[in-house]
Amino acid sequence: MFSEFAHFLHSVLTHPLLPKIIWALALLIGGMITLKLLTYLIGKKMGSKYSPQFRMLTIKGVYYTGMTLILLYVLQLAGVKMSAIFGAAGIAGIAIGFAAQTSISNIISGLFIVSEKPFSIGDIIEVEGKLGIVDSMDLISIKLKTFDNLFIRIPNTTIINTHVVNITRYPLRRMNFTLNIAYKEDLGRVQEILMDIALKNPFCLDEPAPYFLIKDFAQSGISLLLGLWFEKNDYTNLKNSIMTEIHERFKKEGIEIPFPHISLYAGKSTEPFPVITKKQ
Amino acid sequence: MKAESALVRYPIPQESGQVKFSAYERKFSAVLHENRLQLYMSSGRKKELQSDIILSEKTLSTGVEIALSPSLPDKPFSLNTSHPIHVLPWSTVSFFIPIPLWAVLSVNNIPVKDIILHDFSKTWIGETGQKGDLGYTLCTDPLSDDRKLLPDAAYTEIIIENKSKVFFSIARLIIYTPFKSLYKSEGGYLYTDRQRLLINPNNKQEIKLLRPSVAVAQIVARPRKKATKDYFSRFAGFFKKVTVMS
Repeated sequence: MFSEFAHFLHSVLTHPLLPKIIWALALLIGGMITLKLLTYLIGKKMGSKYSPQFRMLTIKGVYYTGMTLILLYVLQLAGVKMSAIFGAAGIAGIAIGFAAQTSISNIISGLFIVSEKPFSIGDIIEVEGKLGIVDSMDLISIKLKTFDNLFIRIPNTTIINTHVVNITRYPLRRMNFTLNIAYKEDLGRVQEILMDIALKNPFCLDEPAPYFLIKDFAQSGISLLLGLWFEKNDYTNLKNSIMTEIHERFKKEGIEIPFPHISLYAGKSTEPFPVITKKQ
Repeated sequence: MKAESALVRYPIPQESGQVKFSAYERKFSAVLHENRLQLYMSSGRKKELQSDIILSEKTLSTGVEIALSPSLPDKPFSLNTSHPIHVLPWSTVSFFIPIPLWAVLSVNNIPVKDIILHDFSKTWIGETGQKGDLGYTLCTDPLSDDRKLLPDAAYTEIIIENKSKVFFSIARLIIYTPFKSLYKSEGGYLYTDRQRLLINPNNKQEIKLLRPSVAVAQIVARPRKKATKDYFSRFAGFFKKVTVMS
């Protein structure tokens, strides 16, 4: 038993391919460590000068190119004929090219997105009606996290082919409120009240000044537009506070906000639906 | 404001764990319960919690002392005067602006938190909505001298030197408070760095912050940010936007 094992061990240790295998393994492990170190140094050197997406792409590009070259060298050392591999790779390339058409298109679109920089990680964007915070930007897709904690994956080609709204690109935003007031109201007084509300609100900026517009003589009232500028992070605060303030102030000042009334008719066109109230 | 009344320091007695004091025309109360220190500020009937700090055993063993020291607000001001400031060609104007103060709460000499004594209305200081800086609106009129001393304010001197042949009518002026130090004068009052706006013959503006013209006894608060030339040049467009030149 022992002599059989010793014989096997001897045959393994004296195998002519063993030094080559050890050398190939050393190259592979050494190469991987060197590549990891190189990508770490590249990442550190690029620092915050470049966008995280560009940094990630460069690091991945360097790593995978390096790995391919090391593998090819290791295979050559192991005695594998490279011409056969390249031939097979050519055929496989065509096959993969057809099969992975969409993925490749997404990768190329990803490169365009990185170079164009329409948004970056942390921005709030809207794509095809989907609103969310950009969580990651990868080679094939971007990932959004919605405000109700849903995960959305959008392929890069969709981003390239459709319009993207970047809500947080600029530090300032304007919130537009469309209000309807009754025809009997004094427009000048309403404008004064709205401006006063706006200027007293801590989230509404004094400059650029609030925008007031008499939009339309609508069906049930005069339609007004109030545009308030705010710092992009104050969206919820401004929206909630200003709605409350307008509602309370209009109530206090006796300004009517008209709303459409619906009457229901039961059968006869002239008589309204009878409403019966029960006596307690 | 007299610096003495702005810098308050109170040890919190171990027995009661509470101290009440007045500063900056407001009433404060600090409560130490077990390892929590809470500071309340009252103005009128409103009492608001300003700070809630958990203290370490080490801090508690050495005794707790709180201090309020004056500080300048954290954002630049956009000064809105009731009338534009007129500057004739080849002339220099100088005036004082009272800057409302905030306070810094320190526990055992470690600064902990800004106590916001004045709420300011936010504004945008920038030529466009894409580039600029958030600031506060300050509606006050320039004072020709610093004799009319106001409570809870520090004086900032503005000097506008017009070396061009153009007449300027300035509607809004930026006061770069985050870059300014706060000083105690020998007279015991608070002053900030002076701000000099130089308009060159080619109408280009140059901004410099200088130490106050009054004799300074000590620095009370250092600037929050380091001033850079780039920062000031960012507002060149804004200056042109709010200034009528003729």
